[in-house]
Amino acid sequence: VQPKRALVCSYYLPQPDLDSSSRRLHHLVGFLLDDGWEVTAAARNPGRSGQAARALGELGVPAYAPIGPELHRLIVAEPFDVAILGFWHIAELLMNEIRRSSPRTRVIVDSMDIHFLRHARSVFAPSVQERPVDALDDGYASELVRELNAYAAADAVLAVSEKEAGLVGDFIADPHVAHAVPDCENLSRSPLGFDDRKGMLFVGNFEHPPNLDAVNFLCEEVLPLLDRDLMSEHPLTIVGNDAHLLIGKRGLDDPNVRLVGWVPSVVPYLEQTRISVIPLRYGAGTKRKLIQTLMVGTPAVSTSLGVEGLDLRDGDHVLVADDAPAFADAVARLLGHRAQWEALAAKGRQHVVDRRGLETSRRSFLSAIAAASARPPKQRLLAVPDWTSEQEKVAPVLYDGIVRRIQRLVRQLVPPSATLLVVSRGDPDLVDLDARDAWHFPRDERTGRYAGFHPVDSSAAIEHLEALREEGGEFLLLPSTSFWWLETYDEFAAYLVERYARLADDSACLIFDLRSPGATSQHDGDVREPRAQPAVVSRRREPLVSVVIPTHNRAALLEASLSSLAEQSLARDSFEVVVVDDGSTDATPLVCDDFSRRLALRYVAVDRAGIGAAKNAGAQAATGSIVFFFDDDDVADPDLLLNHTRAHDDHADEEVAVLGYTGWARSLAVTEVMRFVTDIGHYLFSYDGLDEGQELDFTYFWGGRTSCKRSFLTKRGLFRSEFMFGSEDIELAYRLSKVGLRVVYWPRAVQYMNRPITYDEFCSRCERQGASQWIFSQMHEDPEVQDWCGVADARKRWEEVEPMLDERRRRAEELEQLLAGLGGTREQEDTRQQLWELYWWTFEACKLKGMAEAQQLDRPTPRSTAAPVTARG
Amino acid sequence: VTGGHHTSMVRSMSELIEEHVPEAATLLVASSGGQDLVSFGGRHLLAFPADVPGVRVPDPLSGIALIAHLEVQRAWGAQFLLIPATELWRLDEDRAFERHLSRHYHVVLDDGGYVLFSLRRERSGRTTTAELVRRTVIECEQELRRPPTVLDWFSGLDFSDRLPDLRVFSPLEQRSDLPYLTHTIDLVVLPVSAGSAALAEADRVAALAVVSLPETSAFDSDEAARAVRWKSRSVAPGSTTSVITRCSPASRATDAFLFSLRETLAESDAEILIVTDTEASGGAELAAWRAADERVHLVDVAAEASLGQAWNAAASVAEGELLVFLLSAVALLPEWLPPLQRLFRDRESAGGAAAKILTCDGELLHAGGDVLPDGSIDARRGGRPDAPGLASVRAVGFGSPLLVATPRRVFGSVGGFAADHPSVLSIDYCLRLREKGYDVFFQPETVAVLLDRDTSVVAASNGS
Repeated sequence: VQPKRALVCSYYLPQPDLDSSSRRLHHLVGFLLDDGWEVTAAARNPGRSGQAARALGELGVPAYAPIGPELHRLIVAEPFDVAILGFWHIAELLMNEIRRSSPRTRVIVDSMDIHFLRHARSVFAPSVQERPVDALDDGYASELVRELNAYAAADAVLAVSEKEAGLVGDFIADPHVAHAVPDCENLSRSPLGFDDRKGMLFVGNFEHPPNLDAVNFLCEEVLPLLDRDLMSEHPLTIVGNDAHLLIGKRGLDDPNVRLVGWVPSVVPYLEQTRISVIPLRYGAGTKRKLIQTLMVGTPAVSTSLGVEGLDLRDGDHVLVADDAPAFADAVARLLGHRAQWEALAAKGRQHVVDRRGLETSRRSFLSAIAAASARPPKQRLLAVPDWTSEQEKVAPVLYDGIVRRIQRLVRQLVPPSATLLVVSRGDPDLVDLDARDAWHFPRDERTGRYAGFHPVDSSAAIEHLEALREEGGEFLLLPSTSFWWLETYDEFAAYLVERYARLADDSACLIFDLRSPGATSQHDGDVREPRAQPAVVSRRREPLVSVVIPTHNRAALLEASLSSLAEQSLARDSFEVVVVDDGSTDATPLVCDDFSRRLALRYVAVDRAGIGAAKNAGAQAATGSIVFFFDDDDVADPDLLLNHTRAHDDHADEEVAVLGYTGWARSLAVTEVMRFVTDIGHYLFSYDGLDEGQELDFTYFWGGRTSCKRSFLTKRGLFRSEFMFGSEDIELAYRLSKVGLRVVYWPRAVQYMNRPITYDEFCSRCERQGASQWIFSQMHEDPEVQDWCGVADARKRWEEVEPMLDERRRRAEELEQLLAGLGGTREQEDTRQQLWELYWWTFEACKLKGMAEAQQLDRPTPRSTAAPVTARG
Repeated sequence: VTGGHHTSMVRSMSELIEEHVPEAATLLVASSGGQDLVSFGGRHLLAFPADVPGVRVPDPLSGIALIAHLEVQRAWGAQFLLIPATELWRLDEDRAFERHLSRHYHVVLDDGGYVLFSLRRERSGRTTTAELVRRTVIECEQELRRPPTVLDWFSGLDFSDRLPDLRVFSPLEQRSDLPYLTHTIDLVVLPVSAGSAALAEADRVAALAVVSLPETSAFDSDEAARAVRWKSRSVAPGSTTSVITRCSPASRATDAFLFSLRETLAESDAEILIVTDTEASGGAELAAWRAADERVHLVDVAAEASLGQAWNAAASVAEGELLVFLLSAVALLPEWLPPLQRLFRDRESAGGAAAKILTCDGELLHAGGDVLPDGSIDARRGGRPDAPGLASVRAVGFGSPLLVATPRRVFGSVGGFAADHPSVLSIDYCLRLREKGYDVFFQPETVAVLLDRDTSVVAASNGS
């Protein structure tokens, strides 16, 4: 019997000593292994993964950190029975990939705590009123929508309490999808009694804002109310991950406060201190620190929110107080009263041992998996914003190297005490810059953490930049993963370039010096001169040609296509290949991954969007000065790209596009229908009567075999996304022709179609082509367009030919077979003539069918006013 | 790099080599194919990465493949590695390779334009601070039966980067005392220059050991022993492993194998049993090792004895609890033995262990195989050698005969090796182990690399 296979993925690999969520996942991995599952672990972030990967490896759990092509390959090749994704952000990152590549996998999202609940509480909590923002905003709304969508798309959602499970179920209208799987611990009772213990303890991961707030509240409002003698006898110890974020906070300079930071185990601290203090004022989920302290037998003082979800009773298991005087009073009582301390220690421990032991959690977890497995897997995909899918799906492959290179550059170029603003999506690795103080940009002014969303426009970005500069930001670092900002916020980019000196301009990042607005010199002041490195380390130059290949489920053909591009005579660093995967479910990502070692290949995945949108995604990802749209079922002559570049050298005007020559691949046997569609009917690549260098009209801007200047496209317009198949090229060319487009024929640029065509396939193609022509005709009233589209009276003409179509298609198929059996006879020629006539008739009829059906659908096809073409000048 | 810059770079490199590299030395020069980087005379220069005759192997080699390539070159005699500025990207982009270099070799020169590493460890018993800490960590792990937590108390050597597979941390603030509870951190590392009060403080928080690092970067064994203060140690690590190999007649390949074995076992207490069948077996390298190291013993067998017979003969006189059989066709990556010891310690059902085997080009040759129901085998060849899927301990059917590890008691209980030919020796042994109810595990941290492209060795090593 094959063991079942599970994927467990989160921000970081599961570790028992990192934070509560990591500890939770560590437990879940253990439950799965104990139950006989094969487990694979993965993490979005590479940081801190070495020891975790090793520990997991010893357990027989392969670890993938960061997520990259190998994990995607694994998802396709060896589908998982269950994928457990920690946090909704991770679900958003992987959900569509898993759904497409492995539809039978049950996707289970572990919420850890409900973020939208925690965030709302952080704004509305009555005890935390002094913050500048006091209402929910668009950023909150956006996150809420995404979080709920991620839960709704999951086969099951895990929550830490019944309350949060119920909340998720209510929101997504499915009472069976969310399961409470409590956080659990297995700790022994401390051997030390009341008299053997001293001090107060706060434990927390300080990347988690509620913990920062709790320490502030404790040190600024509670401790000053305590008797100094009591404080000196029972100092406060603060333990936890990322405690450096507390350095410099008010109240921490008290000699009776000890800031310890991360420790290998919190257990000795829990065992030796007299009480735990957990003054959380907002947050969600349940508090592991409370479970731990009670299980060790160390009583705690907490808040109503701190004890939420644990069924603890004030005065029976813990002491609960919500304002500073009450909290200080409870702390003083518990520190000084043995009887109450001993009663709480005993009852509190018994309570959590009964409800939060490993077995309770294990049973809940395995039963949640069983429930999810008993239901058919969902097929729902997420509408993930472009920047998420593109930046986060592609980048992790190179991410680790980019981060290291940035760190090296910063060490070389930025003074040690400087403050940097780092454009990011909140990744802690990017602000881990040696001794420098680094802030996320955009930054939440209240918490000092990543703001959680991007500026609405350039003005907002500039305003935020200047505000942070006022607060002390001295440098702005733009990692290559955020270079898209320069295009999206073009005015912001121009502002930076005009106003601030560029300290680094590297493939990994840009660094601007914000200290001297208007400075034009590269370096000044105490900025160290760069070592020779930027001059000597090889830097990728911008390619000359970007070959854009939209594709959908044609992995084998794509492989041949890429293989031919790998053999080009044009220098390898002079071109890049951008494959736009239009929702493929086959091995397309693997093929691209393989060829990424042989070509400067970028893989851009888009949800099934059609030819127009896919080509646009490719054009937007392209960086070459020439964009060449190439078909995934074509193969290139070795000199194809070289000849396209030469043609553009000869015709350097921005508005000139180049049409190359296409024939059938030599490996194909050219059948009668293939010959007809090219040489006789001129349906496909018909070059009869064209001369080299001849200027042609827009109807020759043939997709898949035409190159043009990228600057012309980006300035004058892209493809319209209404087109799912065909005519998108001619429609764009029509608009471009209004701003000067010229097409030049260059037959020395040769490529070959590598896919045979059958009669049946071509009929279908004609139907889709007809539909596209109808769409095109509805966009522009220009008689030139109407003439090209040929849609006049389409419905009427279709009604006339429809009764005859099936019969004539059957007849054509019969003649095809008959012709194959005839030698070079007169009869053969007659049959061929008849067949050609039938070909022509049926292809035209199929086009009419497509037009009529498109017309019947009555899809909204706005006229061309919305198209992004501006008039010349 | 512009042409002018390249020319001046080659010229300054030549001067650098003349100044820092002895005349007879073999020097690897990291290169992307520029022959002028390795063409000037005076020293034996090889492009890196390159195959044994000095022809570059296809890039990109990275991670463990690049490390394997380096270690093979070392076994064949490379003594220095020069990385010109044009190749420093390797250190940027390949953290595993960078860590390997910094952990095991010392930098002779780093002037911003070049980094020159010495690839030879001194055989005088001198050790470096990094080696000392690493060795102490391994001993801590043996004691604790888990990876230790390490406090780097501002040693200045950034052990959190050098020991990425351990939890290494530092205090939040630089003070004269530590904020931690007594005996709550396994190992504390601090510079000896921190003073006696700091040492006492380190002693307070350490549960197992304190390393006070000498101020010099390399020091002798007495200094090393003084640098480590063990606080509690249940038993001194004993000689529990016997490494068994059969030596071919003296040749460059034999020397390369013995060099690698000797270096990688330098810090181990393993007994080394070398089966010889003629006077000439092993040659001068073996003779020198025997003279300097009392752990090395010879086991004589008849020249016509098969490999299985020879290994059985050596096993019969071995004293270690764990037997590791090695074919003399490989270079071993550093620290190959502790993971095997750990595996047998932690898994009671383990009767055998398989290693990760790479070709000299850094490609994966064997990662533990399975015998399929039709009698054919799947040796898990191909793919990236450091692919995450091959980085975890897992049960397999058999391992490559290049390295077979098994507990001595188990070896006796199944009657030792029964097959003679290397290609089926380990398959047969592992099948018999499994018949007896034992498991065979693949240990990805134990890595051996073929010394050359000898096709018969390749065929034998993957069981074909």
